[in-house]
Amino acid sequence: MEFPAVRALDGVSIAFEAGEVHGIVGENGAGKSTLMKILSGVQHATSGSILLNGQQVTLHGVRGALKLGIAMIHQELNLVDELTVAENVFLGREVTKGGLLNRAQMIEETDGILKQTHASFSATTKVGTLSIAGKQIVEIAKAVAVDASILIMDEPTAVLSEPEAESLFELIGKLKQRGTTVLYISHRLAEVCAICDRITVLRDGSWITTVEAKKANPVELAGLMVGRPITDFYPPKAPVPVSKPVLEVENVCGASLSVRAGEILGLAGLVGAGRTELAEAIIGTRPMDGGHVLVNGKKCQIRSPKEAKKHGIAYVSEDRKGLGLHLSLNVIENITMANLRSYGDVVLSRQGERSSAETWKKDLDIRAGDLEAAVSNISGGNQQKISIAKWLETKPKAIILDEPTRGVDVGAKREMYNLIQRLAAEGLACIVISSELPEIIGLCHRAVVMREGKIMGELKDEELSEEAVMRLAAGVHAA
Amino acid sequence: MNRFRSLLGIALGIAGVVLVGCQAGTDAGGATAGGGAPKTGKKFKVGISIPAADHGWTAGVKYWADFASKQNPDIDWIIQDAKESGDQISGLENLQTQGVDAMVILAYESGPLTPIAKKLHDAGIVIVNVDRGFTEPVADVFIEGDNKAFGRKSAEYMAKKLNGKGKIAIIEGVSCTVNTDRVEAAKAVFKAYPGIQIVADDKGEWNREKAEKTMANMLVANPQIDAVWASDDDMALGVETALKAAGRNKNIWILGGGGMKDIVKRVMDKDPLFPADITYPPSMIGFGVQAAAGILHAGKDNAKKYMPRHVMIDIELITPENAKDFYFPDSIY
Amino acid sequence: MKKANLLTEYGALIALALLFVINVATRGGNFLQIENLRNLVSQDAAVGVIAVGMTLVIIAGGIDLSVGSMTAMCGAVVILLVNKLASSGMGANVAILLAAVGAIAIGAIAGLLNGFVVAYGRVAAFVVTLGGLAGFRSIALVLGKGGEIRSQVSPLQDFGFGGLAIPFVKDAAGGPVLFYWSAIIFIGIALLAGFGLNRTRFGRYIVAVGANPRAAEYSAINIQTVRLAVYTILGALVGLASVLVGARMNSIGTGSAGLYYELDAIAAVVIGGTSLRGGKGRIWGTVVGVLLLTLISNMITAYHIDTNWQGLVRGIVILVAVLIQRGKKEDE
Repeated sequence: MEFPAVRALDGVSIAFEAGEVHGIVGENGAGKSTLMKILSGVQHATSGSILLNGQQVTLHGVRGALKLGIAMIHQELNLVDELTVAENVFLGREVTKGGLLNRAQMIEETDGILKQTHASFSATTKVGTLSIAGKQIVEIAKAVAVDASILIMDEPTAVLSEPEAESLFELIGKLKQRGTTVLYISHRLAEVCAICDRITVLRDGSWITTVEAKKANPVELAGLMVGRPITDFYPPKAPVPVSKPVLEVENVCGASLSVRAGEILGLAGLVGAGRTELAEAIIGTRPMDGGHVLVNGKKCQIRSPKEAKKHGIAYVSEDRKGLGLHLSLNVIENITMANLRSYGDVVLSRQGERSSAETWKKDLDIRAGDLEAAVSNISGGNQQKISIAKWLETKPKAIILDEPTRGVDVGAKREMYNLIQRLAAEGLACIVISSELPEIIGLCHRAVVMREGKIMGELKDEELSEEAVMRLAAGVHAA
Repeated sequence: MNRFRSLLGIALGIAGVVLVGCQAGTDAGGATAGGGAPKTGKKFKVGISIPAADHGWTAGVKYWADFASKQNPDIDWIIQDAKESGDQISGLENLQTQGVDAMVILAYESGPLTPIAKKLHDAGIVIVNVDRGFTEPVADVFIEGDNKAFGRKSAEYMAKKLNGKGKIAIIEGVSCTVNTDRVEAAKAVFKAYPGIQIVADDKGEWNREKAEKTMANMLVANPQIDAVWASDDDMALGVETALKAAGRNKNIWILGGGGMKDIVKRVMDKDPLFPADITYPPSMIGFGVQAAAGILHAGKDNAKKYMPRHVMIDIELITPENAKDFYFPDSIY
Repeated sequence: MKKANLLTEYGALIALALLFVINVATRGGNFLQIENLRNLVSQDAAVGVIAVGMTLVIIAGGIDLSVGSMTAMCGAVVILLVNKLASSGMGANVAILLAAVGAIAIGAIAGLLNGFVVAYGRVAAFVVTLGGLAGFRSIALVLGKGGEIRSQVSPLQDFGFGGLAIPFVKDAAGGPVLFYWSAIIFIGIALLAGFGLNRTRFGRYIVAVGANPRAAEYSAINIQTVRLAVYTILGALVGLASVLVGARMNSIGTGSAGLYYELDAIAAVVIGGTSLRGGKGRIWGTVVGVLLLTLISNMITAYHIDTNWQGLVRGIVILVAVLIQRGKKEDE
């Protein structure tokens, strides 16, 4: 089965084949989400057509798309936590017998599908109790239940651990065998190259190329996404000046580490290893569980982010939209949020705030048209810069960046690495928490690896490799 | 900055309209101190401000206010009811700006309504106060029922009918001078009869449902009650419902008050539950209406010479013998 | 869509202006009397002052249902204090002033109590202040023995109906027309609060805590302090409002004072465009909301409509206001 894709605002045409896993890559704003919205029925294309098996079709909303066999699994899963797996799978198309719900049949059918996915839970499990990986499986089961012939997956491995991702790839393989077409959107270029048959690159709303995955590699793809060849992802590492540590963490939640001025310390591990929890304990939003934090050799009592700030420790959250920024407030208000006192004890100097924001805009190259517009409309990479600017305002001595490049596209990632290098060069002690091994290796001087809440080891210089990190993180050899 | 400008613009616009309108606005009426000329226009304007009809008696007030005002068609009557004191005060302020010459006021609460009444009086408006009196003598005429007589006569009847011996329950109305006068007078009478024991005394707020609840609680707490001094006919009906529900409506009787037609009928029919009643006519508002009309016709200065400042309406006991004189089947109350 | 934004942003103001014009057209000079316009601002001044405070609490992500009962309680304090102080030989004006300070202090303490349980007790504000609604009323009734407390200090009612003479106008008898103190205080508090919300550090914190309390916490803001403060401010404003009520009535009916004030205040806030979810709002909107509700009352009296319709009209106005403002949210 094939269909030339939508001649959308972008004038994009793609033909997808039955039973293929087709990767779609592109920077944020390249048109990936628009394309997916049109294909899944959420939006209408203003021009162009969709052909299914050679026949032109019109999609009437998500339901219409589902009826035609097109299902989408979003990053933000669409499940009802209070209901069971079976109830979610059959939501909106419940099976009835004589006017009453035929629970037995729905459970039986759902269990049948789950068996194929090697799920560890049953159809009667309450969805709210499942992990994100489990919930994803439920979403896939939903699609299988409606016999979807086309499955669109948006960043499915973003929140999965390595073993869970492996299970997902297996499942995709099985779907492929059934003849289902999988459209796989992801920023993880290595992954895309590994599991897809073909890969399409979009840039600035246009189709750039479709290549055979066998012949593609991440660096090449990145270059196509950005529009110029990328020779290196990471800026060269500057040497670390020898000095006493700025931040020392002793036995906090059972973990100890230290960072010096000018150093970038990577905090690696799988999702769920406890790195964010450690960071939160350091800045005081979690109890420290009997340990100390020392800043420049002095012991500090930190029971809240306010006290952390006082001692010069900044934390840029991984949850940019939930904890890092106030989405409904504008750029200026977000940048000055942690440092309002310097704009006035009582009355704030609007002028002062604005000029600060303009300075940061130039300094960090934040692309935001109107500083008075809400930050919700700004792209992920620039939102991250605003979050960082907010903390730089407080003139910290040490800064913890939690997953700073998550959801940030390739071009912006490079800018972020440059920025972090610059911060280190200016004398900040930096801790970078990241789940992307290449990032840890490429960006950091040293790495500390956590597993199940404990620090398993420290790697530096030549020791620092993906295998070494993986070994400590998962207790196994990397594939 | 833009938003501030547009707000300023709108504010200035409104101010402009106001200033222009004000030139045409203030209707200078004739001076009212003493003269017999209406403040605005040809007809006299009188406001009648009463509490909203939340029980039978106040519904009766509305009915009689309507009735009486219709008998005086040469005056523009504006009847206004209020759900609580704050609303009533605002309502009176609004009536003032509409240029009333007089106001007939049955205050929702005595204290709260006194300052505005004083202000209106000082502005030259004739004030007729009915039933719930102000706490300062700011009215030109104050008409009330003799609440002390109410309490005294009803208590005396009850004591005599019980032969000086028995257990009684007292149900009170809303806290105000009307209630206080009645209850204190009644209790003074009961005190003189050592054989009479007040086993329960609680509030019914002049409300049927509340009185029913209160009575139900009293029945549970007291196995023996011979009579209920219910002080109000709406409350008396609530008491009856409670008695019926508890199965204790034999060998007990209720004395209400107000002269509700249904109760008066039952007195007439010698219902054992209602052997008597006490008058407290909501039609006294009609007398207030008439007084206001009279003062305006005569002119304030003239009327002052012969109109009494305080009128106390006699309260009478209604028994099966005289009930037919107090029975008005067409009345709403 | 510029047109839609204008409506959602200024909807309440446009409605107020529209009603104003209708009144002018149908009631003419009678409506435009300076006394009537003055009444529009002063009649609901007490509720207005409370509504201003309520706006701050709602923007901070909370709510307070106890303000009506608190008004009765603080009002009882005002009258009792003023009587006590005056009878002990103090001058009337001083007694009134001190009684006012006392009421504001009691209100602030009550507000602090509310705020404390909400912030540290981790109980929903709705539930906590519902308890306050019952509790404060009970205290008021105890203070007043279930009835009215009357002031023996006559100058208090002069404060209630006193004010500054409005220049250039005279009333029907040739005397001055006063702009009541209650109206002056209402407008003054509104201006102060508006300035505070938009231009001060604390105002920014209120918005931040309401918009996203966790992000505010992670941004080194002490969210508990902000919450405590905002409920305390509302409590103090309720105390102030109770002085206005007590002065207007020269007494306090402990059972009836402040009844439904919380609903009126919240209605004004919602009509004015502040979101009940918190994180955004405006004081001037609340003022418009209060004026709108007062104008509706004024019209019902003037057109001799049965007052029983008032509830329905208000309900419709609130619904329409919310629907119009919802349109804006969909855009976001």
